[in-house]
Amino acid sequence: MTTQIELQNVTFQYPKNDEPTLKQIHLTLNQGDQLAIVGQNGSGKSTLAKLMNGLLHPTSGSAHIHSLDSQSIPTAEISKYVGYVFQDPDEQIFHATVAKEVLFGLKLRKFPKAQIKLQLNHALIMTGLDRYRDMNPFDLPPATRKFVAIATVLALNPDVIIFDEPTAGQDTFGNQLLSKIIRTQKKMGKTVIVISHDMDFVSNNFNDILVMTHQRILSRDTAKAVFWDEKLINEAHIEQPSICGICKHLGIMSKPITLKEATVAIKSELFS
Amino acid sequence: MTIAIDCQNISYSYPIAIDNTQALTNISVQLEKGKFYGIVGANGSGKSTFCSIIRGFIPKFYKGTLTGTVKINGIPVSQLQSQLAHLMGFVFQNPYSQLSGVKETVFEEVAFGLENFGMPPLEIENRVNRAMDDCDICDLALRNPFKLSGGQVQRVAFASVLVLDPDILIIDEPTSQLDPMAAEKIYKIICNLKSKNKTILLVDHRTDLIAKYADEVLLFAKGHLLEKGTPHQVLTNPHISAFGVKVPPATQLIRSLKLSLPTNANFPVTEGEAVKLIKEENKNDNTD
Ligand SMILES: Nc1ncnc2c1ncn2[C@@H]1O[C@H](COP(=O)(O)OP(=O)(O)OP(=O)(O)O)[C@@H](O)[C@H]1O
Ligand SMILES: Nc1ncnc2c1ncn2[C@@H]1O[C@H](COP(=O)(O)OP(=O)(O)OP(=O)(O)O)[C@@H](O)[C@H]1O
Ligand SMILES: [Mg+2]
Ligand SMILES: [Mg+2]
Repeated sequence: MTTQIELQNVTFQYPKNDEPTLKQIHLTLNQGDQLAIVGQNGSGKSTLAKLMNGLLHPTSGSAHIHSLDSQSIPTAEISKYVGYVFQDPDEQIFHATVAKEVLFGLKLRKFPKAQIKLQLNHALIMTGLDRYRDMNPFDLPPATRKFVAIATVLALNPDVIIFDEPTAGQDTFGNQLLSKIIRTQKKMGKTVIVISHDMDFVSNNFNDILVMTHQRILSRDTAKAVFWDEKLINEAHIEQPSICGICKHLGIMSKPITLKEATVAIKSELFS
Repeated sequence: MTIAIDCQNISYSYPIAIDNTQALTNISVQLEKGKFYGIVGANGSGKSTFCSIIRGFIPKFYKGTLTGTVKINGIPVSQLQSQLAHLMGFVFQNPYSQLSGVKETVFEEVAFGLENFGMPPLEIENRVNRAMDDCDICDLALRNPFKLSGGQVQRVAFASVLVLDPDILIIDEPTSQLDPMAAEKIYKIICNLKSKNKTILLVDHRTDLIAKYADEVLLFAKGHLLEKGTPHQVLTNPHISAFGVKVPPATQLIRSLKLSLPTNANFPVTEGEAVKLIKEENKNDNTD
């Protein structure tokens, strides 16, 4: 299995801060990993994401992308390997139309014309933005603007995509579209990382969960192990998916995570 | 019953409308003083536009065509002018819109509104400290508000309105970037405000929290106020998912279990109600 990203003993401190934001982080991502990152506000999730795509570099320790030291890879090349969808799409969007926004990265990569057109159209269709292609991204509502940021990254077809809080502010249609995009990436063998505060979304789409709290990683485990560990949940300021919460109060033993599992568990443990 | 907010026949179109449709169509609604209203609806359904009209930002900062009237405590919004800032707090959907841009620390940012009100410094300090404590941002007091995490900025934005202690609070998606524990904390703060007879309007996609804490729910769809009622009335409507609104997980679970409920029973919308109902059904099942 190919290792895509490796952080070894990484400590990171923003220049003007009194203390490090991340301390002694070890993390390996292999090809095809589907990882959700959850945890407290300010625990360092976005900072960790930026270390994984070379936007930030470790203060000490090392970050490797495709076995290359992240500092040695030219910025334009990193987009082949890792794409990052910012938490705030407004940090990422600069162009006058949606299509130009998506084209920008494609042109930097100097793909042949035909391929550029293909990848542009594909990204716009996958994100439901085709009908907005000639609009100014800043005239679009924020939830749609997030999909513009997603399209710019999808168009480049990187091996790893990091989505930073794509679920924030999305209605159920937006969340369904996100699930679909993630599933498609998974089928293509891509590595996907999603940072989210929506525990229902996380538990329905991921089984590999990284839990963060102040400056560090608390745990990386299965959804079942994470969402049924009360101490971990409190320490990380997260919550059980609502379904788990109900099952806990009912004394259900089999630790279900999804609606389907909970339905089966309640029926067999209480009504049989 | 005192009416805090009275909207009659509000319709509005933005000057440049994306899909060439009205942002709001013929909204009439009366909101009572001392109640907590949750607003739900799909992206683009008009929730933020509705908030902006109540606060008077539309038509003050936006052109376009607005018809209908909004009265606050019986007085048309347009006549309230500067009093409105004291009467009504407004938390923007985008927390960066809340930041003054002229303050270099979180403490000063949260104090900014009270300073503008001309409050004595000692009282400002007390109130700012309390608001920062409520929002768990005391440790950020001396940090630059533009160099924070997304959730931290959102807490600062909320604190900077909370500190003003207005009678009416309009809060547009305050939890979108908060960790789950902080999100629930916001609702607890709001319940506390409600006990002080404040009127609260809050937009959120978290129907589970709205179900648990709100007195009433307003459902927007394509610019129309489709429904207004208790969380039970609105959130158990089988059609809400077609309007982009999440069916509360507790409701989803009860549906999926296909229990035969007593006809007069309220269909559960909260975890607590779901647990109670399943336990009762279980008891019946075992005694049968
Ligand atoms: N540009 C910056 N300069 C200085 N400190 C920063 C900067 N960006 C973030 N920080 C600090 O680093 C810590 C981690 O921030 P980060 O944005 O990584 O958190 P997060 O886990 O993504 O939080 P959230 O859930 O709120 O998005 C926070 O204490 C934050 O205030
Ligand atoms: N400044 C603007 N100019 C033009 N159209 C706008 C503007 N702001 C919003 N709209 C449009 O008005 C309609 C209602 O938007 P509004 O922002 O009120 O929706 P919302 O329910 O708050 O959505 P969200 O959940 O995404 O915040 C949408 O069609 C939107 O595109
Ligand atoms: Mg973040
Ligand atoms: Mg809105």
